Amino acid sequence: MRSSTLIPSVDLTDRKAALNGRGMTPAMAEPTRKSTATATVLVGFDWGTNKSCIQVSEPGSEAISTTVTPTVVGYAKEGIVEGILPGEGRTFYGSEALKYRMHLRLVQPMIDGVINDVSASRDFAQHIRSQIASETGTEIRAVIGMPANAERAARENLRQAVNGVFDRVLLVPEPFLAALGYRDESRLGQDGYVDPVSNSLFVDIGGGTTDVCMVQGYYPTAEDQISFAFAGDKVDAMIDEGIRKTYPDVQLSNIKIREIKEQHAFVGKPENPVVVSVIVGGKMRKLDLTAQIGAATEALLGELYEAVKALIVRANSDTVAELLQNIVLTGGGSRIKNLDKELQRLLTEEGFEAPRVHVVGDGYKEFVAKGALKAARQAKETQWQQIVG
Amino acid sequence: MSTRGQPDQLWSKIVDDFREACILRKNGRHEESNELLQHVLPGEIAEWAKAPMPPGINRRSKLETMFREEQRRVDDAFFVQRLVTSQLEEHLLPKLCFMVAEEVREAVRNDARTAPAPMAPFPPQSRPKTQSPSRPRVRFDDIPGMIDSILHDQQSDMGPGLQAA
Repeated sequence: MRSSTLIPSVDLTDRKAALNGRGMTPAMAEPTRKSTATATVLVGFDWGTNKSCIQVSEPGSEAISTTVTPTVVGYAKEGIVEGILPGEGRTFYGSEALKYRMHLRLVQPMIDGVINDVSASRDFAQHIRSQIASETGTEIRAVIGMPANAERAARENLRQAVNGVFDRVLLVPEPFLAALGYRDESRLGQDGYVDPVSNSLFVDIGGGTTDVCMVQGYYPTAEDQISFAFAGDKVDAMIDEGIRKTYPDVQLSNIKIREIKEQHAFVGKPENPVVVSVIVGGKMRKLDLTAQIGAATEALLGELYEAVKALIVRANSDTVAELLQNIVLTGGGSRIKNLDKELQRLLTEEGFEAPRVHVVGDGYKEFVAKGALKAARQAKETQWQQIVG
Repeated sequence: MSTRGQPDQLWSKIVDDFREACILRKNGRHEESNELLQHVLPGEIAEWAKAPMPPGINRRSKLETMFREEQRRVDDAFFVQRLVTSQLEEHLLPKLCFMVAEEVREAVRNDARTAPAPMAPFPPQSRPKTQSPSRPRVRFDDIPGMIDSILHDQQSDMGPGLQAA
């Protein structure tokens, strides 16, 4: 054991370091910058642990482009022969990195919703920036989502990763962005449309973190939110552990496990056994993974239920009946079959009055980015932050 | 003190030294903090790593958890200290000064009643600042207001020197 490698850098950024190194200055601090920019592009950036969604628009324009990409960077392995990787590239991103993963060292820029590798994160952010069509001199401003419980160090790492990539940034908690993105302003006042931000409980199950947030017409305070690091990745890890115990000779990659989970994950009683075909030692094998998947998702449901319950009891007694009608599941984890029904069942059994749990559907990938873009469009000039480093 | 061969004592020493390093760093004493981090702790950890350990304990994970928790504890402690200092300076001390001044003033008045000698004008006292009301909640459709709120939270978390918007 090499103990020295375990000594962490004590990240207790002091005031001086923050100002000199990775700090931010207000947008107003450099008033000349704006006058030199010829145009501005706004970016809503949901930088997820496993998937990222980016929405891009110009101020005042209704046109929005949306991109969803796996959050992964692949670096070419040493000594790879020519002609294997397209264009003899050394660094690949997203789906392309996964496609050529056999010849790449894959790095996850984020783990548990926060920056894991600043260098890879920076490369990933540069890649995202390069995908945004803009003329030279265009100022790129990004609103970037972050977990509700992101600590100062996590925010500083994020700022460091986008330093010099985006001209101005705002870091905004994801649960708020998800609610903002889910809200359809064009339908406000329509019969049958329930404004999701008037009195709802949002549950955003991502890759690294699950955020539960009570929105009752106001910007949620810290007391209105619970965030915990049990989400998609933890479910993957539990499935992996279960497979290793039951089938010791089978070793599946994280990517394969995630793929199986995304196709088959369920809670409660499965409609059918989950039997998947995998190649082990060059031979096709069928594995029954019902128990392994069930155990992992039940654990997630248990955590989720406790967090939801904790927030419901914090709600004002006059508003709780309506709140119980609007429990909204979003994020990748919301695709787990029967999660809504099972959460509803648990809440009912606990004695909560007629709870209703909704799933947002396929649009879940875009809500945070959409909310981020809405925030970017309405941010005041003085609110944008410029990173100096 | 020699701690060789006693895992619990070794572990306590590692925890104490790491905490000390964090506190030193927080107080701007980087050299002393680095000395602990780079020269003292590696040796202690190496020794602890060689000591027998009950089965099922993952040393690496135990260390990483400790590093994380100690950093957080020190962060929290400094945050509370800053909060208390700021409360003390902004609210409690002025209030206390005001109360003492009132009592002194009252005593002087009483003295004046009993002995009507010429009296120097009492210096004006600044009233204590009233406790700032908790920030009003921001309506959900007031996005700029919400961004202000977020920036305010981030700024107070960053410490007083870092300006946000």
